[in-house]
Amino acid sequence: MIPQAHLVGTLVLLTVGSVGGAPSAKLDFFESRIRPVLVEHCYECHSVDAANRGKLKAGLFLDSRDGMRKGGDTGPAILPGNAAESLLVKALHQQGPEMPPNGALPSSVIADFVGWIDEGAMDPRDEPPTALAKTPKVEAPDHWAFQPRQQSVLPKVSQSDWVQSPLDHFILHRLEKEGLSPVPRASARTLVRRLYFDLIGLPPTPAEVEAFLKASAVDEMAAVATLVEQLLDSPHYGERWGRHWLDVARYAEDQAHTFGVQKRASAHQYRDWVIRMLNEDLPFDQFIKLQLAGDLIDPAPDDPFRQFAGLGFLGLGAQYYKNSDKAKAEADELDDTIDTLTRGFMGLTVSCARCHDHKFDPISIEDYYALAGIFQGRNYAEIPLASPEVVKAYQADQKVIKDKEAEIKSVLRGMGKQVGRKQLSQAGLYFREGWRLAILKTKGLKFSLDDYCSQVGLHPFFAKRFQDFLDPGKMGELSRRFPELKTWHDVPAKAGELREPSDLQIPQGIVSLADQIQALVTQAEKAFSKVEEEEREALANARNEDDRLNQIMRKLDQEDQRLLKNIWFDGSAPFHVPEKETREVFLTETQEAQVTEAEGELEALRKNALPKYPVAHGIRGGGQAMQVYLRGNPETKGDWVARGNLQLISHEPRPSDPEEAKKHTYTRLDLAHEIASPDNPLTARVIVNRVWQWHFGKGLVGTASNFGVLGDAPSHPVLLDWLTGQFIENGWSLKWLHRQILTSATYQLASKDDSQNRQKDPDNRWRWRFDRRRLEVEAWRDTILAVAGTLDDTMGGPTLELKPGNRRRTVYASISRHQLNGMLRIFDFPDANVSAAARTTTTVPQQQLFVLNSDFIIAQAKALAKQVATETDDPSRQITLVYQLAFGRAPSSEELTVARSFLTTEGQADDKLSRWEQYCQAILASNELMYLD
Amino acid sequence: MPQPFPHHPTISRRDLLRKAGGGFASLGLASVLADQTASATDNPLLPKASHFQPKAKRIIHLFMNGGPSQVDTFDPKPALEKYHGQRPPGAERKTERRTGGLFKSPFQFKQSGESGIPVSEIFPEVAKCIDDICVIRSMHTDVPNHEPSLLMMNSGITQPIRPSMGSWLCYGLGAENQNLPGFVVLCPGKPVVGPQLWSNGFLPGIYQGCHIDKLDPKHIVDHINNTQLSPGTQRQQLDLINRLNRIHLADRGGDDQLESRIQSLEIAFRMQTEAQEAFDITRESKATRDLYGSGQFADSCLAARRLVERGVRMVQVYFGNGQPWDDHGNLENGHRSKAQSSDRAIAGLLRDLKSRGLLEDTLVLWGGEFGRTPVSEGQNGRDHNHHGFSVWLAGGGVKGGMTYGETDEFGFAAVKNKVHVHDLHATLLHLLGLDHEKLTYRYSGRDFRLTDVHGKVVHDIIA
Repeated sequence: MIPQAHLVGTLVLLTVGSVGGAPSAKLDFFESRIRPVLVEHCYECHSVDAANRGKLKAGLFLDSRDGMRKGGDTGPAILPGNAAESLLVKALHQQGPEMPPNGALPSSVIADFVGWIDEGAMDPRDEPPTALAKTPKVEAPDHWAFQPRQQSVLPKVSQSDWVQSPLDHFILHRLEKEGLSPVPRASARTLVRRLYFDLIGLPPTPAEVEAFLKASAVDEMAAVATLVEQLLDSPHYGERWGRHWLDVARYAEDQAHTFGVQKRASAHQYRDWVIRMLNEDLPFDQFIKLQLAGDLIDPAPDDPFRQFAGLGFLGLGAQYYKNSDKAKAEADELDDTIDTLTRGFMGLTVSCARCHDHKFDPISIEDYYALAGIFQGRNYAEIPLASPEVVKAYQADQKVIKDKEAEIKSVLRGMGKQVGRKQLSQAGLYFREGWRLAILKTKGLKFSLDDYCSQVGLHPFFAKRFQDFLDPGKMGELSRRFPELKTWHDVPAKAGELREPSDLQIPQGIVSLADQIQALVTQAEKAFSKVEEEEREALANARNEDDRLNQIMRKLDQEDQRLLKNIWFDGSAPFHVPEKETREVFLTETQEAQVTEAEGELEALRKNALPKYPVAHGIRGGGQAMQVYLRGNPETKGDWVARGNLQLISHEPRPSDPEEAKKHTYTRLDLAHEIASPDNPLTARVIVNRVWQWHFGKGLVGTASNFGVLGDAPSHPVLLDWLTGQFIENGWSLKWLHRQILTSATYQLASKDDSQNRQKDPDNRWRWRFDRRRLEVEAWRDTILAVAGTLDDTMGGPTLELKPGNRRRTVYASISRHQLNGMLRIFDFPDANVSAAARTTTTVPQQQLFVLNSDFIIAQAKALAKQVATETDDPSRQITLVYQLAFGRAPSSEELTVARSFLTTEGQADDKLSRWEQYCQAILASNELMYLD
Repeated sequence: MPQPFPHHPTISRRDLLRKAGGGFASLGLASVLADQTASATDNPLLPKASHFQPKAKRIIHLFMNGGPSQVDTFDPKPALEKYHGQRPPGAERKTERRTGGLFKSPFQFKQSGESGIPVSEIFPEVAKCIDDICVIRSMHTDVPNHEPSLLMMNSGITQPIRPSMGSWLCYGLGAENQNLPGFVVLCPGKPVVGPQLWSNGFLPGIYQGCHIDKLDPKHIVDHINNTQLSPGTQRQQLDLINRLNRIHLADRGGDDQLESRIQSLEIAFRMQTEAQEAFDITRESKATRDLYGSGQFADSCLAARRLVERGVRMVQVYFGNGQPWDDHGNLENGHRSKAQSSDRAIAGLLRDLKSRGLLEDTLVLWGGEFGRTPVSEGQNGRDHNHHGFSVWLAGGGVKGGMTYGETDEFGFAAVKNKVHVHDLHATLLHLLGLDHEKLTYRYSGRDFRLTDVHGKVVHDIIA
């Protein structure tokens, strides 16, 4: 054996620095041998100075006596008088935390520390060398977003005839104050496209454009109001606006990693739920409650979909790989829940308080674990979207099927055992021949096993099993089962030339061992038959043949049992016949008929089985008080925290006594109520701002998911509060909010530039125009399908991959966290691993490669060309039709000329697209199709 | 889009132009790019200035996925010979599976180069380049399982939602060649974990590594291949689109976002030929191809050189599909054959880069996601080992002919000058002129870094 010192030489105390007895000697020792090492190797991460720099590790201070004795996250660093048990010494020995991190100190230095601690750890450092800086914590939450809403009246404006909707007062008031004047109103043609894309994500048809123009010519306001109602009533509204919410809810069907997690086949239920609830204009506070606690709200058995499918908000959350660090993975999953719900509903970055108090917002680490406790212990679950009766009936039906399957299996097992039983009298023969076959296999002789078996009277199935069983490589297995055969593999095979199997002589040693085993087996079999005979009556109660044989077996004495199990009964015994082989090889005609009949019954049961009811992915349960994870580390637990909401929102104090904290209940439903309360300063403001952002491209608050101190201040705080108040008064109705915004003059501005305004307000912060913007990838792809006339507008149902043949709306595409579809990714679809506050917009050549060369675009270009060709033969009218379909307008004379000249120029012989198809592709590739005015 | 970090004030417009135009010669296009740098505010691939003067401009990561054994490659341990078969006390360290006694390396080591650094006999050609190589023998990482360790090596965290190193580099530095992806991953098939290893995470999608399965120039970038139109016709079509877009733009009195899309379309058009050419190794001379030898890994190394030569920021060359270096059993044959199929290519790459003057600002990193145990698994294999392993660096401002750090007597755990993967990342970023604490991205309400809250630059290995 190697001496311990070889591996951890540092453990051996070499020349232990003698600490000495006198106090002054101890002090000298500390000053000369301990303090310099601490300063040089430890203070960088374990001192007040490190804490002030934000570099403190493990909550451990080594720059004062108290700091060392109190220790950090894992307990005291030193136990004076007991170096062996001191964590510091362990760490220096590279056990547990390996310190210092860049390599062990010389063993003499470690020995100094051991000596110093064993001698009482004399330490003169009353105070750390630097004072702890006060962390600026927002005590009074005076930040605007944490204040109640301000009440206000509509501000006065001078150009009052510009105002169309109350919110215009706020916008115009500010514009006037900044010396800006709004650009003119958008043309009716621009407006109709804007409204269609904004509300349903699809372009208007040429007829719809014309209808709006006609109505608008009569009464602009009334035309808009009517169109808004019409679009809000369209089921496509939910598809468009549901997708906005799905960004926030980080909706996806799978997980980021590869191992062990399957795609959730019913993920689409949540997506469809969001779409339906928006179409129904479910009040937003209800929308929140159903997503957080649908299962805890009074049951609505007639509509389980409505009640449960919203739980996908929680149930489709992240699941992480748990093989290497389960506690951390579970903590990460909780964090996903907390992050998504706090940013999503309240615009708060509570996740930042997972490891330490929030650096900027009044959110403590206790707040984080109070929230986490509400979800701790929850299970991801598939929730039936059917009545309890339907579920029960299905389960009963499934049980009948399972029972039948089990019955067939046990019948086959019984039959198989009887087959094996008949061979027991041949055990000696099989052992002998098995030996020969196993040896021949090692010698590599090629021969037909079947022929050989018929020569010597073996069944090839059992011959093969014995050959494997007696393989010299498995000698351990053989002597474990049959200690009496432990010399089996010691018997040497005689050398000699082998041409056929019988050339290999079976040695006498094997013959006698085989005979010995045969005698024992015969005896055991007799005992078995005897019990079978004597207990005939009792055995009549057996459930089936398999059960009957098992009962007999249990009545044998131990020795017989062992023998029979090892040769016959258990799964790897050589005379065991598995069910499959019993079925395929060994059945008699009668048995065959019996089994076939049972299988027929099973098949019929399966065929007539009740269909599986739909399920939704949600969660069940959850709610256990947690201890703070110090520095976010689940291994280092701190104080108990009662479940509850953020102290910022809920002013009710949480019990601090550990026992009280554990008992204190606060459910998901309590949380949902507090989040969806009109008194919550954040929730309603956050959704109103999101809706504003989705209409205008940017919010009144630029950081839609962060209303904290680091978020942007609102551009129009009074407007935000007024609109929020009205929103609540109008029953948290999103459709109400849309109407307010869409009928405003602010919304209906043109997207035109104005150099004077631009100089004063280049970012259009004060909303002097409508911002032109790129369509999201969903609206753009859907538009291409709609223009080409190929869109399949079927709603709902399981997801489909975005392959070229897929003509459904993009909202129904598969969304992966592991590998997002390439088209979605390249066009800035958000990463579904985390809640997304807004889409980024990048413009890169890879997007244009898609436009130039993808099968999707090529197919749509062909479809558009074909559609136009079937409508009319006249080239000018064809061009006009393309413009009307794609852009909702007629071409200008310049555009007509450009088109004609392209269409009349010859292409090249090897082009696979006709000139018309090339032209249509150019239209689909154009900026006008992708950018909304 | 959040601002990455303040741009370096001294970068000249000419510099910018030169970098942006790096990939093509045509003056006409250069002027397109000149416009673009002036107006395209939302092109995330424009070159950006580093935080300070960089030593390296690009990285080639030869990724030995599966985890090569340090004690059989670059960290010889004579004590294994002496105590072969015995179970040392430290062997109880947690690894993935059950292990047995110490297992001596089946390979001989030879002092190589002027520096005399010992290299295993299975890498005879790499050994000849050792004076350009810095072996870090004191690497360590967090867990002994492939998935989390692959993620750690690539994206600095064991859970899969963060951007990968290549994505961070492109985000921090942009691309030197607008016609090619900034981050290319040459990997036949799919390693364990797969796309998360080159994911852009929450960074914009364009920073994702461009995964190349087969070196077929026609399929290197999605939709790169125009199958429908002759080049002349496609040019006509492009002119048509441009004309339509110009009319649209004129009606609106100018708009940066419309303008930049017009330009990106032009670039896409050039990319079709430019990118296919870049990946086409058949254009190399016989002498150059011989330098690398043959086989998929050799071809990938050669393609990597062509790519970095053309301004690709980071190229990762995976050794192979699955986790090839994962020799739990029969390590001798496994390691020997894998070394054999990569030794010449690796040395060829180093020599080729050097002879072209590229090695001085191209950083080559060789290594796996972790190492292997000095104790045996089964008869003749080694288990995963995250406590200590070796990687090496060459070129790009790193000192050659040196070793850094040490493992213990048996090569089980790093003990001296330990380098965590976070430290490696910090060092790589540093060599590329980026401060790993300043390269941040605001997401979910906080600033994220490749190195999270960790990472120390290993200054001692920097030339």
